[in-house]
Amino acid sequence: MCVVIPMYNEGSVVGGVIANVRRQFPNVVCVDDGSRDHSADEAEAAGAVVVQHAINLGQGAALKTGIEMALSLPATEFVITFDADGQHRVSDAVRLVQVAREEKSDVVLGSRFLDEGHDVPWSRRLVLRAAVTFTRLTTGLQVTDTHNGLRVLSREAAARVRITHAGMAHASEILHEIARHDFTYKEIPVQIDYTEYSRAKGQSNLNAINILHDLISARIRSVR
Amino acid sequence: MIIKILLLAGLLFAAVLAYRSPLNSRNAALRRLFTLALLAAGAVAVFSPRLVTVFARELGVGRGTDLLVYFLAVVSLLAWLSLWRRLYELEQRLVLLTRRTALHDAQHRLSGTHSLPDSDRQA
Repeated sequence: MCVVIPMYNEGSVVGGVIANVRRQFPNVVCVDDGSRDHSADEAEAAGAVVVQHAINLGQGAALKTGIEMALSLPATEFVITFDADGQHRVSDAVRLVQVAREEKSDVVLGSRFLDEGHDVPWSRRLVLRAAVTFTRLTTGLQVTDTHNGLRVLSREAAARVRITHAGMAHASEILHEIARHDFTYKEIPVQIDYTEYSRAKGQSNLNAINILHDLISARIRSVR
Repeated sequence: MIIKILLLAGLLFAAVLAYRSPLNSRNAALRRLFTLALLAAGAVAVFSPRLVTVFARELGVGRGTDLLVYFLAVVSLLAWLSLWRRLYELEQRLVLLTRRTALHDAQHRLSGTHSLPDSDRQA
């Protein structure tokens, strides 16, 4: 079992996040995506194996690097993707792994929209709703949350999933890959903690345009 | 009338080029030949504007300058798409390189220290 945490300039929180994660999952690979602060040192001090990108590439690229590192460790049966900013709960990650084991799912996805009563900012909710519709149309996957960084992938799924988008479009790309490889998947409700900190640096809704552009141009490129 | 067909063909060619042409030496040579031909045509246009107007009439365009503008538009588009394409490829290579060195460094450091905690416990 290996937790992969892509990280960019999260020096103030990542130490705590990793420490929490390691209480349940001792193997943590943290990918420092060219951070300008002391994130890498914090991560290492907290006990993670740190892989450092010399330059900032994007979360998708960082995730791919992390997964490759995780797969190079023979003991890795499952790869858990987890955010560095403290928005995810370790207890949710534990549950996801449980489901992956019990239901023998290739992929288990966290969703913040499966049960009600979550304080997702309305503007974010709107953009995500559009993303969900787009994904359902293009992949046929019945998911409710397309941009949740909390996932569990079996070793085989992690090895076969192709992540070429360096930026945020990787989240949609992973879903397309699930559909392409016909992996079994399950969505489990998880809680996202929108702290003051994470809200301040969250993805701007304008970025949805960039994501859409990346996905469409990838589509065009792949037409043979 | 012919000009319309030529322009449409030019745009279609640009679209195909933008996404499909591999960046190999054959295409590079073709691109260079194309550039030379363009320069030669440019030289001709400078020396004999009248020739441009005659050519334009043949294609169904009113003035020589109009033809030049259309031509410029298509060539600019091609040039821009080609650059964009190469930038994309460059970006991809940069990602691969950065990843390779990052993993190499990390694995090197890992093998230098004792093994990961719990790496011998069941995952």
